[in-house]
Amino acid sequence: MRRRVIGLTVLALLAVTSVAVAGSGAWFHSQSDSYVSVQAAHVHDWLHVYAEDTDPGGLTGYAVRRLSSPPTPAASGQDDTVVVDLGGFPDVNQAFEFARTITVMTPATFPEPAVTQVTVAVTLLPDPATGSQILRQVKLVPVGETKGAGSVTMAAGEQLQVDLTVRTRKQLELGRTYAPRVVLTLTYAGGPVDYFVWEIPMTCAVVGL
Amino acid sequence: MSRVGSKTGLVLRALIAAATTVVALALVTTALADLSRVDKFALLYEGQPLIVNSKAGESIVRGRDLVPGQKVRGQVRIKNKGTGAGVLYVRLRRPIDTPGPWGGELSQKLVLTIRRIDRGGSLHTVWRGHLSAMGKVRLAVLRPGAVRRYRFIVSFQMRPPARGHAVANQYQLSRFRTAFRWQLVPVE
Repeated sequence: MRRRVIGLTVLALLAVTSVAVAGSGAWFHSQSDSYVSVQAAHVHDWLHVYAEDTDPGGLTGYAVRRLSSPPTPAASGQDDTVVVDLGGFPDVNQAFEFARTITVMTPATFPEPAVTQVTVAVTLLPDPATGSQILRQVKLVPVGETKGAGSVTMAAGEQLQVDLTVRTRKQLELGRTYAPRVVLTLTYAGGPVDYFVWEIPMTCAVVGL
Repeated sequence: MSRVGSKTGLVLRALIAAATTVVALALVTTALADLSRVDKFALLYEGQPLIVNSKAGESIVRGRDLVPGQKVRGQVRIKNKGTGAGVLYVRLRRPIDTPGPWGGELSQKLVLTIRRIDRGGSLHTVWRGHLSAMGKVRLAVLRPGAVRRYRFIVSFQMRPPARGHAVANQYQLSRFRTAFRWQLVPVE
């Protein structure tokens, strides 16, 4: 008897709920989905960064890591994965030249057909931990040459090398590894100003030799 | 004896219930058999709004390799094919940010403008704001048979960084995808 009462009560509640929901129109919301999908551009659509182990043309003669034995290229990797270890340095006032640490290359065709040339500028950022800048004089140089500039116009399919100078000082902390960065900024007519930016991490260890 | 009688009664009641359900289903099926699919919907939605979306399950806007300052746009047509008026809402559903190598969430820099396109072709902005901040937006009341056309404009907006380059850099190769759920809610 008790079960029957419970059963009837449940049925009655279901009936009342169904009528109430149907009457409210809540079941009858009509709906449909559409989509939006977007992706931001990447600087590697416009410019590639290579080291000796990734150079597509097999170019050699990249800068060697100081004090490495056997001599090892300072840079390795490509694009986002490029890292540069310039080696060990003394804590004295001295300059060390590194020719062709990395190379930059524009693609065979630019993503925007109307663009025929781009401007690539190279600058330096100091070690974020100490604020010290151990790098000096960075420039973009035609492959195999010595004269270059901090800002260069490049056509499609062109390759340039990045030459730089490490300038050590007495004040550098012995045993510390400094991590400055080389910044490549690409612009083109009608394009964004501060968007296509590479930050290439570099390391210089002060070892006293 | 009474237990046997109780069991027989239970089986009998179950049979009657099953027979009633089958007859009811048969009657409904027969009644709907001659109607087209739309008519069936219309019957089910009698007195209710029924949405028809020209971009149902499709992209209104797609864009690749966007750079700051660039816009992508697309249009959608929404019709109330029901027999009741409805309030038209649109809202984000399942937004997905896929950061690029430097971790920026693109939705933070996307501004959406929804513009109503009138019959004469004139445009009226009905909503504008950051996609990441979009809630449920009430767009219009659609009477039965009413049609609205909307233009969606998604722009990649980014101010130059105050210092350094990290801010500008971090959105490269980031992706954003979302559904927009259109909803017609019956007018009370």
